[in-house]
Amino acid sequence: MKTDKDPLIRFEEAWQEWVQRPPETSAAAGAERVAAAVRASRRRRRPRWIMATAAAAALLVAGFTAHFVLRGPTPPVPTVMAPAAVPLGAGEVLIWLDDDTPLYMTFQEPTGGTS
Amino acid sequence: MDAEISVVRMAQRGDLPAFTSLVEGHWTRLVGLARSILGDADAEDAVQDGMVAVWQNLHRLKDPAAFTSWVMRIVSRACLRRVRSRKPLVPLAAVPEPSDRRSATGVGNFDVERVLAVLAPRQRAVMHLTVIEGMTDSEIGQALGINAASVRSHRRRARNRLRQVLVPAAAAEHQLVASSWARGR
Repeated sequence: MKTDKDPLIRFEEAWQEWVQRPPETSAAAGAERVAAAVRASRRRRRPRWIMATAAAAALLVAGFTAHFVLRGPTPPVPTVMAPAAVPLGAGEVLIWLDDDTPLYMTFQEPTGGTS
Repeated sequence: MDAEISVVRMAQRGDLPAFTSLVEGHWTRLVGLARSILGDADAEDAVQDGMVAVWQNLHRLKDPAAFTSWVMRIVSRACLRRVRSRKPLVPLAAVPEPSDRRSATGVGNFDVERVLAVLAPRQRAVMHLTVIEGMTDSEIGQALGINAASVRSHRRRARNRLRQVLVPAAAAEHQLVASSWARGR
């Protein structure tokens, strides 16, 4: 008699039947749904990549700006004194080795001995 | 099996049509698993979510031969996440009985979804893989990411809970049949 069967066994048999009903969406249609969802998830990811690149570019610009703004005024470049402005005494010669390096030479009358 | 392994390898290299064919081959089985854990309403959506996660993590699958149990693990997790995000289920005792007792407790006539609702989601998953898929404890453990001892514990508790619910219903059914005999139907 069917009602004498263990109720757990009867339930498990009913469960088998219930689970094995065909899905509402066929396997082919379900697979297409998944493929569409995968493509949509790829598109959703791209803006993040673009945002990451934009953030990196913004950091770069901020870095350059900070470097040039915070560095402060550049130290004064030493002015090169025109030779005419440098007071020279008799026997004194001023030679500019380069823009920043003057060489003063003083000529003296020889006091004796051979040169 | 070898054919599936080569398709899995193609999918791992980014071949979406190959992956789609894998989904098609496993769809019905996975919807069945999701039905047992979630019920009919959300089953297909949960499988879809799970399979998108499978695609995104395919590169982590080291052994293509383990694809099926690996997919079941991911889809089970997708189902369990959905359950956690739902409002708490109403216990069976709080659900009013239908007015016609015969339709609820007729011979072999179970409201399977309503009965499964008395089990915890993980118990439903373990019972599904035991009763419907016929898997061994270690296969179920691999599919759900738990050890075999936990599988046995979940199954024991699930069966005890089901008996608590089903045996009173069966007793009521006996009464119904006995009273029908007494009236000489």
